[in-house]
Amino acid sequence: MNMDLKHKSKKGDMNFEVIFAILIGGLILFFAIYGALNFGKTVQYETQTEIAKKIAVLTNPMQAGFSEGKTGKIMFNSEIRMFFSCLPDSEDFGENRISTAVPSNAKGEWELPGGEISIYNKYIFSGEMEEGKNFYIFSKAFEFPYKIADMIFLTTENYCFVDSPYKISKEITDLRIENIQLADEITNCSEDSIRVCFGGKCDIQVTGSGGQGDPFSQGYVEKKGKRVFYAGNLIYAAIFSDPDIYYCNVQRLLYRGSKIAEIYALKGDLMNARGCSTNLIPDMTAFSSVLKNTKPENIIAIVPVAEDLRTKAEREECGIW
Amino acid sequence: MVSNKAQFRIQQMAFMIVAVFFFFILVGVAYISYQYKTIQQSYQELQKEEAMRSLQILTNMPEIGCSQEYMCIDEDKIYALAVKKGYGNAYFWPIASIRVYKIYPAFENQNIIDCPAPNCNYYNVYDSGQKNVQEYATYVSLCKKVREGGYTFERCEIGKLSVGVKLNEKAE
Repeated sequence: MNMDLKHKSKKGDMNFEVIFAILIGGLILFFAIYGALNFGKTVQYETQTEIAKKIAVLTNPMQAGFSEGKTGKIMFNSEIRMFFSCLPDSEDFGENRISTAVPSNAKGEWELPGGEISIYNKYIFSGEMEEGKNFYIFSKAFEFPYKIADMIFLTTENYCFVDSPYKISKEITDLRIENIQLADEITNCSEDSIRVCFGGKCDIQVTGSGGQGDPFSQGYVEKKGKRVFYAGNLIYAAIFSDPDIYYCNVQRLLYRGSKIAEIYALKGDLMNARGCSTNLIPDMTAFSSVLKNTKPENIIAIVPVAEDLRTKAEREECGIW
Repeated sequence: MVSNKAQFRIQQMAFMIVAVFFFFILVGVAYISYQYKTIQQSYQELQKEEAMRSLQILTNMPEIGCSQEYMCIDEDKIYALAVKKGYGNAYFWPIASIRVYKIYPAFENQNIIDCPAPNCNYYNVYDSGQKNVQEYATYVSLCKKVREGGYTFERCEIGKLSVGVKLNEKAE
């Protein structure tokens, strides 16, 4: 009888120990898995943020400088998503924001984007989201009428320019932009490409309203049912960019243009003081306020003002720019 | 006797669990601090790379650069920027400071004279006010348009463009 009781008691002890070990072991295992998952997410977030920062740095050499333009390509080993946004600021230079996302191997879905990287002195024109392994970049200077900044165009899709004007065809051929095909007719475009027509009906339509010499020097671009107005090299921005990002960046460019005009007005004072005279100081001051107060949608309205300024500057012996 | 032994075992296991828990906490803290250091290092590497590239980019910027020359700074523009303090903000300039020194022809008085001032030789174009800064410099042409004897031309001197990299400021 006694033996039986002892045996039962020992059995009970063992059971309790096992239950206790299972409970604690399970708890540790739960925390370990939870921690590992969270840790993985943090590492993923960190990597994605680092990629976004690297892209911001990689776009530095893309500033056109004195050249007509520059071309580049960013390649990744696997598919990647880049998210772009633009924040305008009527009293400041505004900013572009980049974030990236990589695919989640386990689920075949996309991870949430990493931290956003802000860029204040660059103007990146792209879609809101670009996805792919190869990212094609090219840049062009924005002159209105003096150089304001270099615009960076980032795309992943293939484009086909149908019956583009000579100037644009030459620029694309000279820059050797890989993902832009030039075609005489829409039927010559590759199947997977986005068709850009200069005058006809296509995925993206460009309508010029410039003079006879250069009809596409200004006009508008119709894309996904939206119409955006452009002048000069902004034509590329209007074609490749999301309309909201486009207008936001144009507003930022106009603001920067107005600040540069203020510098030129001060430069004019210095030039006059040493006998290299200029009559453009009042024009520069006025142009600065015109740029600051112009809405990006109305850019075509101020093209004659910029052209007038260019003509006046070209006539001067000591050019202000 | 049996109950004491069981209690001892549970106690032993509890201590072991606490020890393992603290061990993992310590490993975690060590890893996080290592990771933090790595991120800081890679951030500073990227900042440094950006500053090195900035030397070239700055000379191309319309706010500073000459219109048609490579690695050339328009002296009138930087004079205007030095007068018009606060152009841009800490975000607009990707660096902590921009300084330009006139180094040739050398001045009789070797002291640095801050522009705007007569016979000045130093332009403080931008300063974020950050103390913990590492500077990188390059030689540039420092040009301005002049008109003499009925001719208009660019008069250039040799200058040094110095940019400062933002290093993380330590909390005081």
